[in-house]
Amino acid sequence: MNKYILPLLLSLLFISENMFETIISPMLYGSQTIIVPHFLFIGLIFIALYYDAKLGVIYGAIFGLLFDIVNTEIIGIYLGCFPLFIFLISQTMKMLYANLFVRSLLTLIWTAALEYVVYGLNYLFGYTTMNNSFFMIHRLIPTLLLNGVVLLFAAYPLSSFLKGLREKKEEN
Amino acid sequence: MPQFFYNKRLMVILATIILFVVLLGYSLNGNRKLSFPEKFVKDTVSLTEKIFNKPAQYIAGLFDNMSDLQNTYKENKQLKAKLDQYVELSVKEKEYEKENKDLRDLLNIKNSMQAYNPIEATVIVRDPDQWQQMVTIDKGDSSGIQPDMAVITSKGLVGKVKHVSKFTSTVQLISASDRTNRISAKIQQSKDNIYGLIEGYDVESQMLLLKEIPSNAKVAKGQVVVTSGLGGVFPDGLPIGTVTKVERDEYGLTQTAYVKPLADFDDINHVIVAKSTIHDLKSGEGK
Repeated sequence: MNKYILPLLLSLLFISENMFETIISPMLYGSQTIIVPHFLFIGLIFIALYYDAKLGVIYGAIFGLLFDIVNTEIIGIYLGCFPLFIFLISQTMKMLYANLFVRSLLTLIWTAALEYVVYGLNYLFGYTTMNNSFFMIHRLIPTLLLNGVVLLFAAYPLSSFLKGLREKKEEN
Repeated sequence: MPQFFYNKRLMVILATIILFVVLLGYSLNGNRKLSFPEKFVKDTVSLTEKIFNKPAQYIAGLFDNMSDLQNTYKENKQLKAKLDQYVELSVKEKEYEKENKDLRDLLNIKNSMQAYNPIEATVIVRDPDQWQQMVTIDKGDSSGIQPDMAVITSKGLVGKVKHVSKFTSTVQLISASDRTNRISAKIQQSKDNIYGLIEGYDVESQMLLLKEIPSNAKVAKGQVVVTSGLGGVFPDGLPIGTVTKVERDEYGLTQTAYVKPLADFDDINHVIVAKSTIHDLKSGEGK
């Protein structure tokens, strides 16, 4: 049972991102603001931090590939970014002791880094002509606000859930 | 040197980098078709999401209905005023239609560029990182959808079909700034139409760019832009938007018009895929 619970959780996060896009984003009609949910990425980071770093990287690769195939049809961007970022996060976290708040804050900073890298790649491949200041004001800041609010509510339950799973695994 | 090959970790990293470059290069090719595993994964995931999306959209619809109710009285007044005009228009339209049909019979024209078979579809997935502006709809190959077909809502053109798999297909919206995303369009006038290409989208002003307009053409604000049907795949006369601003390009050879789209790209739930009947005929001949 415990084997399937993490993929199930990640799949739900994956679907929730798309649902957010089809249901919440129509409410933003007319404004220039672009809000991008990164629930899946947040979930992956928490798995790497509170459950198992190696498993986090592997799930990052799997769900990155899935994200690329289903959503963007350019295979490689998220497939590369997810595992790489999760690996780097788990490495940096080894170096410093951090509580939940600091970890959530760092998660948010890494989300910003992910946004920036993906923007850079899309700019490079000619999929967007958005300039940097517009990206910062109308996309990056609202995106961080949304994900920050989500982290605020989800960080504690998610981390304690994953800690519980880890304890159960270590008992066995 | 041999030591280099014994470093397992380094080899793995190098191999993955090469794999990424290969995958990226493969998928950045503009003319590529989806491979079988991609189609399979896309279909499976999209259809699963459809199950989740239906109830969620129903609930969201309830909220929409409530806000609609608030505006009902005002809207009703406006609509009643418009209704009188509508009767007059519909009588005229019928007359024109009949005249058009008679003239067509007289000239023996069977196919019109404007005619299309509508295929109704529902949006099930929308890409969360809105760079590619991709939308997945729940009709695919099995419903007769082919690449490059026009996708419209009741308001106007929203995009074109990019990739087709068995039960779903991917639509790229015209709000994508992708260079390969071009649509032949014209500005409607009573005399000669002005032709141009819808090429790119200005995110900052939320306007489409209608490029390659001849420099001597006189374009005015508020003129209506429709598809030209010159590509052969798109039907003629699907509304796109209205002109808001005209600019000369940097060399002064052509003009660029900023077009305010009629369709609302944020709120796309139900779309119609317009299958041009002329296109149908052509592909039939090809086989």
